[in-house]
Amino acid sequence: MRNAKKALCGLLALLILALAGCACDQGGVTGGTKAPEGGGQAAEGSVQLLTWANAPTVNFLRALAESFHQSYPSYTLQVTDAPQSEHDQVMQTRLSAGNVDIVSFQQFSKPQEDWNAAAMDKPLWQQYIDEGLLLDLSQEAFMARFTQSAKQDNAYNGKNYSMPTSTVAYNGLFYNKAIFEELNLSVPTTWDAFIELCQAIRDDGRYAVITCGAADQWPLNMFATGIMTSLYGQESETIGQGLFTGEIKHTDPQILELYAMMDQFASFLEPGVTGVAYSDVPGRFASGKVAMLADGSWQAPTIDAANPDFAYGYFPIPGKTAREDGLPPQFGIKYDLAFAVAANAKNKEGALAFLDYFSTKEVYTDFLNAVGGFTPTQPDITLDNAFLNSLAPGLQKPYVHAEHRLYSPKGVGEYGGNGGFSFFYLKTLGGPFTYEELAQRAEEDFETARKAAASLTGR
Amino acid sequence: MKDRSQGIASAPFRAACYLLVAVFLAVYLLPLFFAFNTSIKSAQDYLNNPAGLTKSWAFSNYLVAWRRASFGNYIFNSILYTSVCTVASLLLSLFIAFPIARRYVPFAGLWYYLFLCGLFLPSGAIPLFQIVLNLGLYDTKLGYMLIMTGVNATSVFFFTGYLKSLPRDMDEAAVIDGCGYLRYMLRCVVPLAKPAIASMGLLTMIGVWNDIVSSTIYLTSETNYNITRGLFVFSGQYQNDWTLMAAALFIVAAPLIVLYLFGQRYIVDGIMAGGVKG
Amino acid sequence: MLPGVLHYLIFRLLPSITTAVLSFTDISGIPGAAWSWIGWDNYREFFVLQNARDLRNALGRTAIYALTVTLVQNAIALVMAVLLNKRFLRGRNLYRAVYFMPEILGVTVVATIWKLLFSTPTGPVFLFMRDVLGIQNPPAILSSFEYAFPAVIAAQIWMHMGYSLVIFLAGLQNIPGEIYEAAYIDGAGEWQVFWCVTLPMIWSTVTVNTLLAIIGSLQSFELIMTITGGQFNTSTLGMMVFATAFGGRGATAGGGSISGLRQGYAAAQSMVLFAAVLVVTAISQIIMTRLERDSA
Repeated sequence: MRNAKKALCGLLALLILALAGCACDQGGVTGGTKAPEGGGQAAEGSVQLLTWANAPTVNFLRALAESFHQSYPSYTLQVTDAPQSEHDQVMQTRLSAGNVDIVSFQQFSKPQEDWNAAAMDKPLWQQYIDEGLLLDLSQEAFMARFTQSAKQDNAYNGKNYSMPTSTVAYNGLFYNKAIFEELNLSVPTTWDAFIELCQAIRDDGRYAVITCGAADQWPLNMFATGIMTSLYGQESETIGQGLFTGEIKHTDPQILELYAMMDQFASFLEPGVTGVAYSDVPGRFASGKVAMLADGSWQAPTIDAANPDFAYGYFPIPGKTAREDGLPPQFGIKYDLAFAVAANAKNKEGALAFLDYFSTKEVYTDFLNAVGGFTPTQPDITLDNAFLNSLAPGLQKPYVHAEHRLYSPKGVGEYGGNGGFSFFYLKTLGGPFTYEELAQRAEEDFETARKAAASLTGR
Repeated sequence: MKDRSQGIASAPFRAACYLLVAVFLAVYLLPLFFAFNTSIKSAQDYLNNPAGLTKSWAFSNYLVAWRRASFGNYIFNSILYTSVCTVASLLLSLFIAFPIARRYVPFAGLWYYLFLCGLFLPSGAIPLFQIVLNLGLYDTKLGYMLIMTGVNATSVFFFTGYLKSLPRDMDEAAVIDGCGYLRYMLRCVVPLAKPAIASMGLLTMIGVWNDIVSSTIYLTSETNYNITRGLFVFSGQYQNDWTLMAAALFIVAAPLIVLYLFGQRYIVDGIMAGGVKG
Repeated sequence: MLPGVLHYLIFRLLPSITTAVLSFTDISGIPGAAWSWIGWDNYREFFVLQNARDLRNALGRTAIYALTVTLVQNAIALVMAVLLNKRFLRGRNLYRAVYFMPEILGVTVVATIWKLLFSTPTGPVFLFMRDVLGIQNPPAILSSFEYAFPAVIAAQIWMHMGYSLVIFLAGLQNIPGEIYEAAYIDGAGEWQVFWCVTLPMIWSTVTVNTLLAIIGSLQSFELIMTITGGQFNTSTLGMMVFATAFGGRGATAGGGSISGLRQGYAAAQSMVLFAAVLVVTAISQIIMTRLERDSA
């Protein structure tokens, strides 16, 4: 027995050594298909960047690695992308392992504050900052290149922990220009005009009206907040807080109006829309069988890829009435792809050097042109991308998208999901409720959650 | 009259039996056939006539899927994980089972219950994650293989049962010959236990190759992905490229199907024995 | 022997037991985050803070999942095993091999096949509903609140039926042929032989299979994770534990996600699941023994 133990221990030790060998080789985590450049010499100055899978940005960043290395020979950028559904998880675990320097976030929104602390946990980004895991970038010189509003919208405790590279518009619809021309339709500026337009396409009968990647749920639910943005504009903030605290009810007439609009919108989605996968919609839209695609502006490059000769435009869902200031309907925007530096980064200098390099005007302009769906957060950027330039009229006084204004109490029931505005429970889409019933259920779930939270904190 | 244990088994009864068997054959084979048929259709062919037999014979789907899903990067990981974990699991289990079978350890009966516990207790995935995280083994091949190397009750019981049936005289002969324990195990016990090792080995291999839960938890870099994880990610990215996805799933399943064709007997034996004893 | 036992203790038993300890902490998967003892807070959050209706639904789903899978899977497997044990049937090994196939293919492959079968609007199930049954606008099964869950249950049964079948076959083959012979000579029909000879003789196998299926299906979430990701009211307790601890949708009873890898909370859920497994196992044991006694 004793011999056996020794022998096996030896065997195991050997095994572990051998494996540790493999593990070390792979220790520097690199982006899958692209082989890591150089072994030994890169490890010293390697800058690890993690972002979510989005082909245009990832491809650009990978291509950028080379020119970055030329400008900063001591550093090598290594880009890893994680599937979107797993990105947060990957970021958490890699931050914990300390093997990442630059991480990616979306907008820093909905922090836990005094008024909502009783029934809301801290969002991930806030946890990270409070744990001291992200570096304060406020004093870095490159932050001066970004607009004041971009910095304000992403600040926490008056400091900037992220570099918001861009915004996207996402309460809009892509429309097929050929179909609009053929049916003699024009971009609507009021909700009623929009509904008429939908009806006209349906009456014509040859094309499906609106498609959406509803099988993935979020692409459709994001339009509940999209319509909310268009309907309430800046008021979304107070309404979101009111719904959370109970000062405003989901069943109030002004909120019921939103539900009614959602229901109308849902009625024009193509049949079987809940089975349409998000990855499928660009091709579906570009095939010309559907007049409109409900999606965010970031989808433009994918549509181009699906059919380079396809002519399309993008317009914001209009509010109930035309704007008083004479502007066309405005987009709701959110900040997309903000880079932050891990406080425990092995290569902090390299990470900051990359952010500096990335935000120089030339590189930054290249980035926006290459990605093709993002609009700038730096002032005075001229783009050669026709699609992005076509968005300009709707970006004169953009709103912060209502998604960032909707708070859900902890433990809220399923009908309170998406702030109580989930398309999937509507009868129109094969769900169980009319929109009035859904408003009722949503309010009940919010109320229950508020009470439960109060009973626990009052203990 | 030779086969009276079957009774008379009237013709209608026999027909009903065949019918039922056939229905279930269809339930099991049709989906597989549909998937295979899809995997050899061109995208256009599939769109035009999703349910019809292939006209395009697009075997190139397999190449495209292989490249797009980067299976080339993952398959070596899968082979590494599967071989190391299988060998390690087998050795560990065998070395536990032998002394228990021979009662060379005290309280041989109690060990049985120790391993039985494992079947019922919660999986312990969360503390395990913390252990791996704190050992710095998160997202490493080594960490993953340590997790996947399982000493499970089934294989211990199975080996114990099998080894008991081997003659004891051999041990004594070995001692007299001055044969070392390890040598004895590897030279004499292992060859004799070959069928049992084949059964458990195949089952372990299948388990490791097919693992998706642990690879989701512990492997986050693409360089460490195993092939099933590659398939899962691929199916998320190309949700509606069904022809490619079907090809991809057969690529992942192919090694197993081959194993199954040759080792069916051992696999089934292993499960039968496990079921009766467990 | 030692390395194996150590590995077993460290990687299997110790974590199992520590789960209970962690359930009283707010430990998370977040790097270096401080953690502390928080008493029963996790359990309170699970039972009090969580929407009671959703919690009931989730527990109900877990029960339905386990019950349906156990009953249907074993019933089919038993019948098929008895058939495959008939000597007059030709190609028995082939049939067995086919029924067992999905077990070999693994969760990810089976899930992909399932998604293909139920895809809209080109999947065979969709086409069947539209063209054969003549349903206008058939629902997208896997993204429907009504049908997604049954579809996942069907996948679970389809995948694991072969396993139960093989175990039943093992039990059946242990029955000596003479017993059958005697029964048939006494003029018993197939039905009578099944109830009076076969079933009592393999009762221990039935018990084993029932236990395996109950424990397996109560804890199993792999197919749920890979087919629907816990969306559309398909999340069970096992899925909730996984999604809470390691991220993803289906973490809350209502199908939402919980950010922050709250592993302390997940550990508490896991203890609830363990309690459920214990209770159900005990109850089913009692039922099985009583059934055996009654029939004897």
